[in-house]
Amino acid sequence: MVDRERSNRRGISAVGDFLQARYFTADARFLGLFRIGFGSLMTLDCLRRFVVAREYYTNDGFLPNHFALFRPMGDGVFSLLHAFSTLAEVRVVMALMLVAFVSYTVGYRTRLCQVLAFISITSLDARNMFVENGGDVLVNLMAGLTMFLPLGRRLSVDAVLASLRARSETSVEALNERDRPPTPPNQFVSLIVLALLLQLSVIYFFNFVHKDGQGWKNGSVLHWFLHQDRIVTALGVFLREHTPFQVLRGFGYGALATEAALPVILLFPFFRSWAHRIALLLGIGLHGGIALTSRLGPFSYAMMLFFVLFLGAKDWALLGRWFGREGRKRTVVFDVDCGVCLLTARILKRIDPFRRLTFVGNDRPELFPPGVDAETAARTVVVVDAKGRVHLEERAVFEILSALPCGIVLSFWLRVPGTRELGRALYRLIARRRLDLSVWLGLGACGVTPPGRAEVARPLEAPPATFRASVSGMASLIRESLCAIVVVMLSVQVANDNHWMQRRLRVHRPEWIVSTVNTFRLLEGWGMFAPEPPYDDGHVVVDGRTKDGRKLDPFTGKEPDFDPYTATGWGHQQFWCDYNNRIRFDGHVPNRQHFRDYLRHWHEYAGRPQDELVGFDVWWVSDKSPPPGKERGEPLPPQKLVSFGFVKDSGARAFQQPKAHGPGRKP
Amino acid sequence: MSDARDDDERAPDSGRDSSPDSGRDSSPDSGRDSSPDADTGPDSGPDSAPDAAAAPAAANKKAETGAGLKGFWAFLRDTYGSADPRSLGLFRIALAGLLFVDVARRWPDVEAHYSNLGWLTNHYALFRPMSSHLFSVYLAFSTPGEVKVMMSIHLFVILLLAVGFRTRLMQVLVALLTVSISSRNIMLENGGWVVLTELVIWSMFLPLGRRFSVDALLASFRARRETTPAALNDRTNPVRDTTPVFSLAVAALIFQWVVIYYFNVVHKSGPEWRNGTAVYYFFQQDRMVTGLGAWIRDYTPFVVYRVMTYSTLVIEALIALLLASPFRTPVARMIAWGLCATLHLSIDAVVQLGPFSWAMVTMFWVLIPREAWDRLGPRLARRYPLRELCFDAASGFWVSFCRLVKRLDVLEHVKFVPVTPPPSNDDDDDEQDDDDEREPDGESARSTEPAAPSDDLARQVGETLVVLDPKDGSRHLGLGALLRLADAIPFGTLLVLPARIPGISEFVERRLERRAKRRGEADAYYEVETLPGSPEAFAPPPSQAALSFDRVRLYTREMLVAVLVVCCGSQVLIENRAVPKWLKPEHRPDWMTAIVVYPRVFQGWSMFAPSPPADDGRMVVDGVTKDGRKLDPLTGQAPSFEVQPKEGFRMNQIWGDFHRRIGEQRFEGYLEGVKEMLKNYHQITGRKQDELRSFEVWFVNERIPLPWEPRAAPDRRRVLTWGTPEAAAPPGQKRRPQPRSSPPRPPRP
Repeated sequence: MVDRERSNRRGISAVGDFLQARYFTADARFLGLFRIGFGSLMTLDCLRRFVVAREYYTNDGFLPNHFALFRPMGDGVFSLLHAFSTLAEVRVVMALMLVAFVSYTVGYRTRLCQVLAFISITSLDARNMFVENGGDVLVNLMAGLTMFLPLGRRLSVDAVLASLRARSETSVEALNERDRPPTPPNQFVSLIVLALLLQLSVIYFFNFVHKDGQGWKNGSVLHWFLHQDRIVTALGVFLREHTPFQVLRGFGYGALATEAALPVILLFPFFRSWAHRIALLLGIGLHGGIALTSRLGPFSYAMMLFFVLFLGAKDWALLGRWFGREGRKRTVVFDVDCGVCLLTARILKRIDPFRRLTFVGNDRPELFPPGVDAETAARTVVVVDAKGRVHLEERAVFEILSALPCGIVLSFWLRVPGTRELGRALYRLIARRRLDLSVWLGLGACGVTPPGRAEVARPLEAPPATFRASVSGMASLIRESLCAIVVVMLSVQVANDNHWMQRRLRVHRPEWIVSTVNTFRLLEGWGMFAPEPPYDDGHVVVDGRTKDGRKLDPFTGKEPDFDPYTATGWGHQQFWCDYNNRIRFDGHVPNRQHFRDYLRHWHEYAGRPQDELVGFDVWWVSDKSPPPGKERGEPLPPQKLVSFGFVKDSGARAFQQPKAHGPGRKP
Repeated sequence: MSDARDDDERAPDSGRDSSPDSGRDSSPDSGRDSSPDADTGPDSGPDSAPDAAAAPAAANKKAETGAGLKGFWAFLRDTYGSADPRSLGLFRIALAGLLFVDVARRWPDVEAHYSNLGWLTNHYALFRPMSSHLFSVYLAFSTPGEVKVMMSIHLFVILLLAVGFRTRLMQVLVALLTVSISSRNIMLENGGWVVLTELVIWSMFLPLGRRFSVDALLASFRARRETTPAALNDRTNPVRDTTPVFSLAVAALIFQWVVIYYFNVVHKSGPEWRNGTAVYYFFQQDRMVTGLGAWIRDYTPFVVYRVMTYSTLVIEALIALLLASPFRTPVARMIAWGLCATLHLSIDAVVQLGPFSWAMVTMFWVLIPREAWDRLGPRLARRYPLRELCFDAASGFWVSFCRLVKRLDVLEHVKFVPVTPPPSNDDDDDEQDDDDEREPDGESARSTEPAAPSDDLARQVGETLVVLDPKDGSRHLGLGALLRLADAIPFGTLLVLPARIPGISEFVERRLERRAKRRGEADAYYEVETLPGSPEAFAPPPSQAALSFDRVRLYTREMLVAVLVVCCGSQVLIENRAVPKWLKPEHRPDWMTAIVVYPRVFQGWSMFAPSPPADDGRMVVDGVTKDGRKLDPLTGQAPSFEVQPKEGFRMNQIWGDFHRRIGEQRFEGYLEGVKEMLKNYHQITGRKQDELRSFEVWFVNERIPLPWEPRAAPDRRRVLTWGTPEAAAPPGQKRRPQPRSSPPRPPRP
């Protein structure tokens, strides 16, 4: 009986370990990589909003804050940006958000920045929901869910600083001891990892099952997709013009098959490393293709980054094979008397995860690599590469950085003619004054260790049964409890937001879930271009008249063009594209007054007083996308959205009775 | 945009400021405090770290004062531009207390005045702002729940400021939040709000966390890591920071207060101030008078009002003179403080002016002179007993405990006595024995005993915390020892108060015993096994780079203060009637206006000037609920048109100003919001039966007669109606309709 119990327990434990390893564990190194990528994405996203802040985020633009609050576009919408009205105010807030995103990216005060980033991205999205798309919702979700991950544990400024505090090396031997201080554990086990895995699977699953329209079934979806002129890129235009329909059909079915396969692959319990790699490649293929052929905001990039979260130790080892190859080994001979040099070496040790750098002090000539003499080593840092070539000054710096993963991004300019001379001058300036600089920074020089800087070691991770471990344990408990609540909340939301689920299961949503989801925009309805791809396309045309009688569309800078056909795509930025596509609906009639007000003042914002519009009509100009084999679609009658003043000679009249234009292309 | 505040009250009014263009609000940097003048003494390192080599300020002052411009500058700086860090620490705690109460008092009024259930929704406040350059984080929050969450965060930040955790950051956040909560509803703003905001803004530039703060405590731990009893008993290091703070911000605060009092005096030029009736009218303001004020006014002879009127003028003038006085400034300022407290706290006892009185008094904490600390400190110290803390110097836990006690022991009344206990047996389960010995009141039965031989002492040290009283030689053990130890520390009793609570006291007692008996376990748990006997560590002196950086921060800070002084100075000239026209600037750059208006640091000072209000009134809502009851939602009772009830209207400042102002013509654009609030009343109270089916809103007003004058009939003016046959929107009122539900939204493509 006892043996059976023990055996049962062992069995349960084995199952538990099995599940934990596959569904609850993430690698901290890839979490760090994810943070860098995702932080960069959010930073760029914020920057692109910064550029168009006036139009979309201020009271000069299309949606003043008071109107957004008076007539919210969603229930329980919350945004800090609602409190800011003018361009200057909004830019100040956005600048602060940018600081948070950059700190997030480099991993400084990571935990705090994770929370600030989530609040910031929610605020940016919710401030103007005209321009919110699936990508924004996804970024929001990712920012929210990954708040529970220790994204700063590795590959971050926080990790480097913690490691520097954990051990204060004062000798070259200590520098070369790579196992001290030990790095934080690479494995992170949490319910949130499962939640993220399920989230990604849910996205693909519902995107697949909702795509049950004719366009998907007959494989013509990619054709229709590439004829969305408001979002298509130049590459997309090229493909639609030169790719046979059957090939596009194949890609369309391929996209569907990929979306169908990915949830299975992601959740497959065996061969996990390979499954995740395949999933990553499929994801890059699918979303990379989408990103290259269309402008959908951050969606594609966020989806590709999502997969990085699930890579593991074996994948890191693979990376190690590349970044840790023999050819990247470098021996660094540096000035041991220089505090700045020692600090730099300490930092390099910590950002050299594949241990390509070996340090040698210039006080030990017997250890110098061939080709290095004492006089040179006293004058400059010396780096000897794997082939025995000796590099000095800025070239040495280049070699050091190039030995680090992706270090070439930081160092390439040191080899570019022009900037390399600058680099050399900078190096010599610092090298000549390095001892003074060391003293100035309080780092010691000339072999004198500054007081209080004796080597100190303190374990980074709290040993068990300590106060720190207790606090950490309590924090973990709270975290996992919150994760469980989030999982329940999002599960309920999934059931409510997807009609495939709604047809099969009725789940009641408590009020607290409704308000939390609405406030933080944690929406879970997944159906991109589903059930059908769009079969028509259009954009806004402003038929304006300037003071001097010219016809002008301020958004193109040219005369208004009512022809919905374009051979090259409209080249619209994603915000303008989404705004166009929503302002045309009748539900947004009350919002059109602000568009009108913007157009009345646009000459002030553009600094072009001569282009002041004294009258204009705003039209929604659209056409049916051309069917396969045809070049042009059937123009639809333009729809007037809003007017100001009087416009004579409207160019829309010619298109109010649409005719077919020219022969189409044969399939 | 006209300002919401009432001209005939405090209101620094910004009406003369017309600047429709927005400007950028500069965020001042709360930098370090060190003197820019190296001659005054050693420049201390990080903000909250004590300077190990600080020379007594008195000696520095002597060295400084000399003939010539340098001496004059030093004199000015020492007189008007310096503050003691201990005073700043106390000021921080007092300010945080005031801010906490100020925010908390608004909590019950969130629905009515700060949320979209109330009369000023956030979208309307943004659509029709009551002021240019309006900034408020609170405008992003719509529902009462959201606003309360934000308020909770606000209160939490104030608490962090109070304890001095990340003080500089909290000072900036508190400034932003204080401005935000005021700006959310400007109509309710009064002079007290403005004064409080100015106190927060100016003090943002001062290092309030240098003493009596968590920051200072942590810095002190970093400054020196004691590992031996000798080091623990060495009180010379780390030294407690008493280096004076030199900053233009101190001078700005002082002269801000001088300006307030000066103009309040000169503007009081009306006949009521001359004939001594002003305070009488003050007491008749039923919307402001407190219960005490209402009671007192019934028994106060008229001559007393005259005395109070004239003494108010005299006191205000005296305070201004005393603050500005360059002679015997410590004494002068403390006298000014006394006068200020007398004046303002007596005002606050009889009328509701919001935070005004308390803000005026709180500033003076900054001005507590070094001499007071030097003189009163030892006198105060005599009230606190001496103690000897016996501890095992080989235990890292107890050494750490002593390090903490050393830092809290500001009077240096605790001596650390090493005692070697018998070896601890970490495997013994002694808790059973402890339970048998413990008394129900939570203190150990052995708490007070006559002195025992030293081996007995050693045994006791090995069992629990032991504290000796050198006066009578008594020995205290366990929780009792902790309590006696706290007696030696100012406010120590408060600190250990939770330990007296039944339940907690037993827990503390057990913990003390466990830590004493299982010292190895305690050391391992707190990772301090290697502390005893290890080499002492001192924080390295700040590097030249750090000092240079601090200097840059200091100069930047002073520059920002200077800019703010210039902006506020121009505002003083613009806003105050008493300033002759030729001194008023005709033009001012927009950025200067933005710097003043965004944080609302207005400078027009005329409390109840030139004359106090000679009338008083309030809004009365004659409402009928759906179940037929008569109800005034503003009182929660049946409507009453009584204009001078015996006990006053019993309103707080917020409601008092609401009643006063909402009936004015300049705010008629907001009456629609009042209507919506009244219609929402049942949602505010949460009682369905309170839903109104109709109401009429009246402003009831009376002229206040002197005691010998006949009382005129009160005026009634109908302001608003709804639901009655006569209900119609007042003509000329432009306001967009407020749909209760949003129209259907188009599908997401």
